[in-house]
Formats: sequence, C-alpha cells, structure tokens
Amino acid sequence: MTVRTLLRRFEDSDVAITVYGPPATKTVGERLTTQGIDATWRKLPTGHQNAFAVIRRDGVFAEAVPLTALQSFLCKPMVDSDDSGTPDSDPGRQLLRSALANTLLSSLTPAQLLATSHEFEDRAYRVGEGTLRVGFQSLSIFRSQHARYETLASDTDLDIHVYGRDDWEPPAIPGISFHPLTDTTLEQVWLLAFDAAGDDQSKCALVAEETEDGPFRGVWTYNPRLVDEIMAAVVAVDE
Amino acid sequence: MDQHEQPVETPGLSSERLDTLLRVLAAEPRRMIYTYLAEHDSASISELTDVVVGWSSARGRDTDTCNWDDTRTALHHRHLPVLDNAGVISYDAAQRTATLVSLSPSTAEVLATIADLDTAETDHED
Repeated sequence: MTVRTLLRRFEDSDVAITVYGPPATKTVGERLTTQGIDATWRKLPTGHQNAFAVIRRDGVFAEAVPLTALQSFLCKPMVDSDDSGTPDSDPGRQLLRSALANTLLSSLTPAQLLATSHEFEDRAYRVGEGTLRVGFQSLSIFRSQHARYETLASDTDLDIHVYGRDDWEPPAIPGISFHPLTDTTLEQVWLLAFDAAGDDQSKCALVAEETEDGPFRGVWTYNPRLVDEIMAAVVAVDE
Repeated sequence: MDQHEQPVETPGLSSERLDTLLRVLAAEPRRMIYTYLAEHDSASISELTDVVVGWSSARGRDTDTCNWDDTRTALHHRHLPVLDNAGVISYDAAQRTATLVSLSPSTAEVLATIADLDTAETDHED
C-alpha cells in the first residue's frame, strides 16, 4: 500500500459539517471548505463560546463539537516546536481529532500537521509502551523535534523509529532508531503511526502527502486495522 | 396632551395566552427551536435535532439532550407538537418539517424577549 492509494480510499467519503454560530464564525465554514469538506454555516445567536459544529457522515449525525476547538486547529494551530516539557492532553482538542478522523483534508499546513503529530505523540507518551513510527520527509526536519523526542524516549518504554531523507545526521538517542531513506516513496510524506503495544483503543496514525502546489492532503485515523496497515507499509519501505 | 399621540401600545395578551407562551418556552429545547426558526423560518426535524443536540452539548447540558435519536424522538412527539398547539410554529409531521407561523406583535415580543434572555444568560461570554 502506498500513501497515495491509502488517501484515495478516503476521497469518496461523505462528510458534511454545519457550523452554527454568530456571523463571526462564518470563516470557520470557509476554512473547512478550503480543506475540501462540504461545509455550511447557519446563523445562530449564540455567544462565541457556545458556537458549535455538527458533523454528518453518509448523511447521518456523527458528532457535535464546540467550535472553539475546530477554530483553533483551522485558524491558528498551536505549535510549540521546541516544547520538551511533559506532554499533556486537552479534551477539546481530542474531541476535534476524533471528529475529523477518517476525513481527507486537502489543504493541511505544516503547522496543522505538527499540532496533530504532537497530539499523537502525547497519546504515545501516556500509553508509555509500543512502537511509534514517524516520518518527517527529511531527517533535518526532525531537528526541531529533537528535544521533544528525547523526552518521549527517556520517560517511556516506547520503541521509536524515525524515517526521513538522509540530509542530516541526528545525534544518537537511546530508544530511538533512525532510518535514513534512499527510497523516494516517503519523500513527500508526513507520517506518524503508533501501535499502542497492541491496544486497539489507543492506536492512531496520521498520513499526509505534500501536493504539487504546496499544502498537504492527509488523513488521521484511530481505526486499528488501518493503523496496522500503515505501520506495515512504513516497515516495508525500509526493508 | 392628545392621547392619540401616545406611542402605539401592542395590544395586551390574555393571561391564558401568556400562560401558554410561558409554558411553551419553559423547556430549553423549545426555546432553542424557536430561536433557530426565528432566524431561519423553516427547518427539517433532523436539522432542528442537530441544533438542539449541538447547542445543548455546547452549553454543557446533560446527556439527555446530547443523544441524537432520543432528542429527535422528543422533538417529534413532544416539543414540536407543543409549539404547534400553541400556535408558535406549524409542524408538518408527515414531512417532518417545522415552520414559524406569523405571530401577533405581542406574542412575537414575548417570545423574542424570552429567547434573548435565554441566549444572554447562557451565552453571556460574548
């Protein structure tokens, strides 16, 4: 399975999001449309804090989420790139991740990918064991994440594997194996997959591919079978 | 002073009518439905259920109104007929569509005031 065939599987998924809130929230609907999602805005005289979005999959109600979470991801994702402190989790952000899971987003920025990666790294940190495979296109991109991964490796029993084009030699970190790639399969790919030591409830993966015109198209998932497939595909690239 | 120059008062409501309106809007889901229809005139029951479920969870309400199927059933069997009987909306149960009816100025004023107070109270962050 290549990343492209994986992403193609999500192309036909029927996801529609309706944003309900005051006029100021109209832009969130527009941002979702930019991500290739069928989004509409419906005026509702709520305060900003109580605005919300309803997600429908295949025409059926799936979830209602506070708009604040969606908005911060779409408009200003939080990135603390050199955060080496103890990773934490935020329920609002987790809700957002599950709401947009299995949804192909067509215009992701590196900041949004990094924010999502951090969520999943935090999850791996909390689980504390299992295999985490990450690909940041080239190893030099990993440089800014170095301190964060050092914490991740030293505080947990995680088996961490980092993949990327061989353009920087990272310092050795116990618990982390680096896989410089000569193969170009993952060159345009941003990827993170965590097997949670076999616990299906905690598995997660993010896969995104850089598009011709700049942004990434990608998807994240908590579907354990899909995560297993992605893990296997990454291993195969390095064999 | 010529009393005809006084501002025109909206005709008062009978106490029975006022009781009915207050009873109708005593339930939060019905205030939500009224507020939404006052903005959009007409909506399907699915859309109204989305609004009640989403808004309730945004307001941190109990899981009662956060379950979509239960809420839809409550709308269909209880809330929409109550609003319909009070002459606030017209609910077409066959088409599953609710439409705001044309209200007398005094009824509209009472409903709008309650709805405003409700959103001001619970959505006061803005």
